[in-house]
Amino acid sequence: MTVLVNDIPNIEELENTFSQHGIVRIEHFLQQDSAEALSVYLSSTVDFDNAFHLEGSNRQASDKEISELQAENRKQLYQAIYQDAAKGSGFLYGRNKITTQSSVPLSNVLSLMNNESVISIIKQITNKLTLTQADAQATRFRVGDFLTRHIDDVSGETRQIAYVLGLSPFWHPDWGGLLQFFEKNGTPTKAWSPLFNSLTLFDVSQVHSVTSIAPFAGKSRYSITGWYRN
Amino acid sequence: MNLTLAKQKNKKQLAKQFQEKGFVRVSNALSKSTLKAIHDFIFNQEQWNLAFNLQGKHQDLNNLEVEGWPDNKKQELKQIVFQQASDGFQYLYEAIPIYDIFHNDLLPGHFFNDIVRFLNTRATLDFFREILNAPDITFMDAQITRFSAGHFLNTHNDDVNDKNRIAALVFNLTEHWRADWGGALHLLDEQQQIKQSFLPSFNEINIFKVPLDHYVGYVSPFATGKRLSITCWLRSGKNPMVK
Repeated sequence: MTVLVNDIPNIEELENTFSQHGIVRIEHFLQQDSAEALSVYLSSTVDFDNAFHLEGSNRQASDKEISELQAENRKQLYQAIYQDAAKGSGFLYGRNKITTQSSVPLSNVLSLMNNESVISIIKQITNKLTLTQADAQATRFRVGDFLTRHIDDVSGETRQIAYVLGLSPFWHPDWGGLLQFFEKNGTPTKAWSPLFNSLTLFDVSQVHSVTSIAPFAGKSRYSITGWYRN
Repeated sequence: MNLTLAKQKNKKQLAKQFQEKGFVRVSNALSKSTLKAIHDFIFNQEQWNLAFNLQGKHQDLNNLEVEGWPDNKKQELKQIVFQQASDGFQYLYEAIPIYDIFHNDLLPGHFFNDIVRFLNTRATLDFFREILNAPDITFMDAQITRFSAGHFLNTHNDDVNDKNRIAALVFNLTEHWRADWGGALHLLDEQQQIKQSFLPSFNEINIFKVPLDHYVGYVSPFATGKRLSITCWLRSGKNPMVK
């Protein structure tokens, strides 16, 4: 399965939006069949590890490990995760780190995000001329998953631009899972409901969160995310 | 006591914003003593209607009764509510219909009546007539609402036949809220994308012109606070509740 991008007709407009807000969304990023095939692959074939924050450290557990917990222990685990979340820290979502060794559609996405012409477009839109490479992970937010408010600008890291390639068709904003941006003081600025085949780019200094997925969401929220680095 | 709005210095600016965008936020909305009186009263209120929708019909349950239900019955109610929420209009929150209580004289002498009267004083209505540039506003109806963990109000546009709604108002009375708890008021554009989000706040009014698609985001299961507000509509024409 090859993964191909569409031409982007409105690069200048995107450039202006990014320079004003530090956030921009490119619609119809992949060619339609690539996006559809990738979306089906993510929801049917990929295994995810559940990443979460517990008692001060980041952990992960497979779906199997979590489902094998005794009901009482599973409940305690979620309660402990929620206790941190109530105070504004932590996360719970599924992820699958993509490497050149990953299965074909995923490793193809990684090469695509690192393709010279794609990097050159990202550089132009964000005016970050020193970007050289991207990493990637597939993510899945199920009912009850969330990512509390944070910034991606981790010291000692070379992250410059975060990206989210939305791969959930027909998402409804009522279901949650918004990519929500904030001013430093917590005032919400921009919120994006998952849009199929859109690539959202934002500066790593932007405060953001993914809002909780409502129990009545019709499906899980899938995307490919990562960072462009120097 | 005399309930009043706080004085706003920048009414022209607010009017300009509303005219340009169709929505506006008014900070420091209520005078200090009014804020305390109304907030404390609502904060301490124990009995509410648990509101949801069943096949197009509004339902109210007594929240205290539901709290006393066995877990399996509570679970069953959730299933019924969520089933309709996946692909259609649904809501789950607690409410007190103070406009109906006032006009039907259901609780004579109660503070709820004072709130409705305050919302309909000439001074209050004039303030909104001015910043919305809507001299035809004749009255305001209102309900008090409370959203806690698991509550939500799905997308709708507030356009109900024969109600002559000009704008919707939310008096935010939530003293402590964290962004991660959800429960924001989201206004949508024509592409069903979010054009503005208002987090629960303390003593702010969010105003938007109706009809407009909007929703209150799902309140995270880990939210420990309660989102309190008075939700109102500014309306024109004759108040149908006044005989």
